[in-house]
Amino acid sequence: MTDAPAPSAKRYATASDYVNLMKPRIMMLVVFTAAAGLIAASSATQTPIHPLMAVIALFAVALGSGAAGAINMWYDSDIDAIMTRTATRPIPSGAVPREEAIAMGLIMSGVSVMLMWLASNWLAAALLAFSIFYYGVIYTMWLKRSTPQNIVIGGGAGAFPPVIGWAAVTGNTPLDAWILFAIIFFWTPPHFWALSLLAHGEYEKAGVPMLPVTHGAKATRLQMLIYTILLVPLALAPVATGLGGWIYAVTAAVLGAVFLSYAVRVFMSKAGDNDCTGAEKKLARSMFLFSILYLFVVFAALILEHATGLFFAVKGF
Amino acid sequence: MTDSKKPYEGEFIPAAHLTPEAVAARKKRNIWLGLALLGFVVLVAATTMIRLSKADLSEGAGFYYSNSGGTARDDERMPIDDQPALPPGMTQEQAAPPPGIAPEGAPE
Repeated sequence: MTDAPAPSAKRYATASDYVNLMKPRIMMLVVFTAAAGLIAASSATQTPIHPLMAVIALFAVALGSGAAGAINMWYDSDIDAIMTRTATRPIPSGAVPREEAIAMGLIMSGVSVMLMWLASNWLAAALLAFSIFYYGVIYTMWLKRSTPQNIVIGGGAGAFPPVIGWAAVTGNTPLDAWILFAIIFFWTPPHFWALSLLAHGEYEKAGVPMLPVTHGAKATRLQMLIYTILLVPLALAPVATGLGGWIYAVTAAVLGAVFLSYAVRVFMSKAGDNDCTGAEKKLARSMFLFSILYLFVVFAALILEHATGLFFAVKGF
Repeated sequence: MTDSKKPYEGEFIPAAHLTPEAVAARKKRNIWLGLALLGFVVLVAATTMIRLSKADLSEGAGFYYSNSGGTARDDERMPIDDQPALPPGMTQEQAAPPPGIAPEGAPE
């Protein structure tokens, strides 16, 4: 007698399994931040872009993000099967074979880079190719299983989209584009560690050296606070360079203050410790959810100012 | 004595017998794949048309797409109607043809 499932129990892949392989929620954030970079670049540099070309460029970013997600799921299918949170993903659940996932990831990588080149320029295409490589190879295959700083360095992959969006319009990447990169880069650690405080047992079981696993919850809470303290003034840098106006300034300042208050409260709590209370767990989860809202709203403010003409420069900088 | 082995036995991999559910799932995947390929073709066609509509295909022009609506070499090209530059020190009056003589090709 074998443990193989009966033929009737076999699950056949549906289109939604292939969509899930592309990590659609991450893709949404990636496309949104790329759109912010694209719209801000077009408005700030007075460089028009054909609307259809802009849509195709953003579609290429979405495809590239999906390709990186598929490569990540292909490589991580062994640890995904161990962790409860990820065990239902298309590969560990048996819906999609591993070889199909990697084939899909590689084909979509090529298609996305080619489309980006056709719709914009070689620099945007090269940045997109590098960001896929960064996430699929540098983060997934190298950093994730080898260092507790995995998501700090690996966060660079998720920070590229606004730079790609900017390059798609202007063909270059000035300081403003890299400020948007830095905002996402410094946002990633407090965002991700808030989640890993809750799931560090799972990471430990899978052998992934997340910071709460290797250095404990207290050190993680301190690191989260430090990165949030760095993020809040950094998010106001676009105001200093003239990229952000009053709407952006007020939004970034208010949301930054709330984000900082979350980081302080989590730091003073025992979230992630073995003896933490339900309320403290809830606090860490609230910080994780708020961090998503923070990034969405801050970039939405930038889009609002540059897409609708509601840009009121902040004098005095 | 006859050989009990059936002809071609073991030489071919037996055809897979898929269940109706598997066939239906495969058909759905194939439709999505077909639509994805069609979408790719449409996107490449669209970018090509936009590039061609923006490109200057006249002699000497570059076939480089520019978001600004022209070609990357617009600033380097001289409009056809422009007069050639005068030698240093020569004024427009000195360069003009003598009175009563029309420039070559001018209407009578």
